[in-house]
Amino acid sequence: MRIAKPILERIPPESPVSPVLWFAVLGAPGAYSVQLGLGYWLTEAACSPTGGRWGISLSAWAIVITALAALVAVAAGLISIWLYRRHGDRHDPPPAGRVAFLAAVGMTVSTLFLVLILMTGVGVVTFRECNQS
Amino acid sequence: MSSIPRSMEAAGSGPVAAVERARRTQPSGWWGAVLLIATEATLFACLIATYFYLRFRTDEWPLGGIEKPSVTLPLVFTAILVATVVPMFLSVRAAKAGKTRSAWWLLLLATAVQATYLGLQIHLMVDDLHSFTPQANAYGSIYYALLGIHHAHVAVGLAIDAWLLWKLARGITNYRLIALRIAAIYWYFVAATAVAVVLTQLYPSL
Amino acid sequence: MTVATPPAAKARLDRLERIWKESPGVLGWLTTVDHKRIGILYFFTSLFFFGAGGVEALAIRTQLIGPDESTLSPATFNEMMSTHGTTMIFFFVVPISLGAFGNYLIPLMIGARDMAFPRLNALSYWIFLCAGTFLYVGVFTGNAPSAGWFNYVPLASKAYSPGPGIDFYALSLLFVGISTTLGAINAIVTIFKLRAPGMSLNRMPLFCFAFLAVSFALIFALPALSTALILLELERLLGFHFFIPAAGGAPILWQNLFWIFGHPEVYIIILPAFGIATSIIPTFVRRKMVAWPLVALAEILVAFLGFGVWAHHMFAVGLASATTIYFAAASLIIVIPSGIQLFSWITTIVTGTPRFQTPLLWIIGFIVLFIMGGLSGVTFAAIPFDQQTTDTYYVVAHFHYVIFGAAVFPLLGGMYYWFPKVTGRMYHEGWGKASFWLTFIGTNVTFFPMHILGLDGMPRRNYTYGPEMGWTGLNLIETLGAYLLALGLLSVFVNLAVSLFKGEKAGNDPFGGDTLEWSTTSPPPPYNYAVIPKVSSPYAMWDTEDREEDARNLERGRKVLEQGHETAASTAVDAEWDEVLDMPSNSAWPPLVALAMTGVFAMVLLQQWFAAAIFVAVLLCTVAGFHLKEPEEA
Repeated sequence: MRIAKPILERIPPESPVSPVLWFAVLGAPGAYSVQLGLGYWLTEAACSPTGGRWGISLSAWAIVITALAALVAVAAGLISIWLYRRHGDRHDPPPAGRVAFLAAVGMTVSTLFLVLILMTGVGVVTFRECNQS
Repeated sequence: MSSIPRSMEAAGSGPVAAVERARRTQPSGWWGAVLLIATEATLFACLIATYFYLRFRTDEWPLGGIEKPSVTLPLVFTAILVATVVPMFLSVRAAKAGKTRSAWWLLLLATAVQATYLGLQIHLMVDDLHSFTPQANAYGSIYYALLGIHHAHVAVGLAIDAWLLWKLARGITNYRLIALRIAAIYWYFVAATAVAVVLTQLYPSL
Repeated sequence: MTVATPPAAKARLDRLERIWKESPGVLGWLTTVDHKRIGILYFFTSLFFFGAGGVEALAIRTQLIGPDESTLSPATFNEMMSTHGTTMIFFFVVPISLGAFGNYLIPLMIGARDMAFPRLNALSYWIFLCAGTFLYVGVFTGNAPSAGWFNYVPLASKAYSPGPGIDFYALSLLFVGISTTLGAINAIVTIFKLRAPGMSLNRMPLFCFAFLAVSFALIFALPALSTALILLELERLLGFHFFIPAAGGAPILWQNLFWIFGHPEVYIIILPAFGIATSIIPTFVRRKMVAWPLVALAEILVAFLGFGVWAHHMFAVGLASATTIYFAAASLIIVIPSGIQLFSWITTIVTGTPRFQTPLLWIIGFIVLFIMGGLSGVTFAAIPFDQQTTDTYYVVAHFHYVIFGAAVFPLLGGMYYWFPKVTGRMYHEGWGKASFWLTFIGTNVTFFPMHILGLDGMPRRNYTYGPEMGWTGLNLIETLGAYLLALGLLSVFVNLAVSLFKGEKAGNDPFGGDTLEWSTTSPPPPYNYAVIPKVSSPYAMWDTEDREEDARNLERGRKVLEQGHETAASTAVDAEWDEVLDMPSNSAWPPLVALAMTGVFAMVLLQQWFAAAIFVAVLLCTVAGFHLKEPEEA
């Protein structure tokens, strides 16, 4: 984790504005939101009268966006695990207790959103046609 | 306990600046303004999404033979508005440092430019109305709806500025400093929205 | 723990009482900014609308008691159906949850003396009252909306609904949306800033997590509805074109915007109920909540994921498979956070020592009904199944199980639970249990057969049905169930009303509650807490050492904050003490601003544009008045 060290020295995870901590919690939901937002718009564009002629390959985009989103979710999950192992007990006074709580949240959230991201990706690649459902 | 400031009693540049320095986190008013901005930003996101949703329904855009919008003036005016972010930022910095008079003059400068921006934009809009109306078709409707709602937000910002200019001329308190900070972040939001709106408005010509 | 108050402490309590005393009489109530009084105002106003919505429901069920009935004409039926949904969602369940329960309890649970913005709080209430009155002026003048609570175009457009009914609908919802947005902002800032020092995020009651989630969801969902309503009114009143294909518009645009709001709205409806359930369960089973961090997370997750599922209301509209699949996936995953909470609640109850008193009965009823509603709901995630059951009574069954069963039952349980705290008297336990069973049975008799009718093909929103369809028997049962349900609800309110006058005096903490509100008197004094409480866990009442330290602090004058109308402000995440804030006292500006706003909306409805502009100027003046007197001058 050599790359993380400089950030941690300047703003440690115990700080309320730690980017590492908030990425652990919000990284996976953020990645999913981008997958949904971009993906939904791409399908609206691709399946519309105008956008249909732009030759948007929904499955290609779906694979790329899903892969990137999944990577972010995995990264957030790994960072959550690392944080949890550093501060294990949420009953401690803040900031340690608060960091442990948020790390537990990050682990759960990253797993759930990873599943959702992959499910969505598989779904879009399978149903990439513009025919009415 | 004695080191915890009774913030709202602070009046006059010195005490207000001291309270601002002592505070470790953002005041309640700031949070309230940020949340209000979040909800208004979502409103604009929905309007811009509506614009593009309607755009994708059709081949011809603008609809009904309406001319594509001219690019230069809207972009110049938007740049003027975005530039007022600087005096607003400096005004807050001056107030935090206890320099109320400088803060007041910077706010006046920003207000004057913002009001000019609104005047110019309304003039442009009236010009547009001679070519096409909102009742013409969906393009006209979303064009004027988007612009009109943006201008309404600018007008509200001017009202906030006017109130602040009146109050700050009578001295500064903790409450008024927070109000100035709120006005500044509101204008940062309006400036950002102006960029998003003008890019959407000019999209057929870009 | 009643101990004689030492003289130093008593002097401080007297001083606090003098500083925080409410103005007397009707004027006191009109100008109040106290969160408890505002909560009570919201409570009774919401109940009035509950009654109105209930009458509309009974009218619908009476019309459907048998085939080919003519109790209501088709037009009146459409009006009843539309106003029932609109009233219940916008003017009952959200205001009572956020405005009554949220307002009253959030400051108490976090150890604060009021909400972050007390005058804004009052403004939210008065706007709510004016907006609800606005809608019902339409209803009582024969101009009720009749295009359903979801108000689809083109039915809701000028061509097919030329009368002002839809304008009453749209403008009253824009109007009440302002109230709800301000209320949500107030709740978030209060929860972030006014928590007692030491109450970091991992020590905050689960109730507050639920209300934080609700408020954030409102901030991001309401603008989508506002956009839809503004576009609709621009189209109806000023001839703009957004939804009419001939002019380049798109009807589906309405549906997308509406459901981007509408789906989060239903999670907004149920999240406060989750918060209430997670408050009642630990108290009555005398056990801390199993998997506490996961329950806290689940409450936020439900609100967040709710934004990703909106098009599941549009599976039968003709969208491309590539589009709908996003929403099918999210609609399946959203079951998981609800499941996490259910498993936690059930495990907590089973591994605790439950006392089956009235509030817990309501929560157990809620769990049963939520499971049933959730199971029928997840079936809609399967697009082929959804396309068969859309617009049938199967949908009506599902959402009444989740809205009535799962959102209202905890509200009723919460009314019983906090009744002693708010009024200082105990309700009648026997009648409480009876009222629960009547309502529970009535709910199931009314709504369960709807699943069968739906699968049998009975369409929703139809004013009648033919005798040959074979739906007669079940419809009769449902209508009788509805009357039983009404009786059950009536018994709840009669019990509470009678207990208000005749109930035994309740002490501070009749149930052994886990959160801070039980540490103060019943009803709480105007200043809530004599001492800003010390907090070390989410179950502050069960940390007896901390409560003893509060008593010592009172005697020594530490953290009493008695130099004015004061409360403590802390940092958002770790609740380190940052400032002492001065809270405003009574103000006439909130009702005046609300009245000015009413003028604006009324003139827009009547299309009197010049008058509307005048009222906008008046509104600006009242808002300026609102800010004239700065809080420390109050």
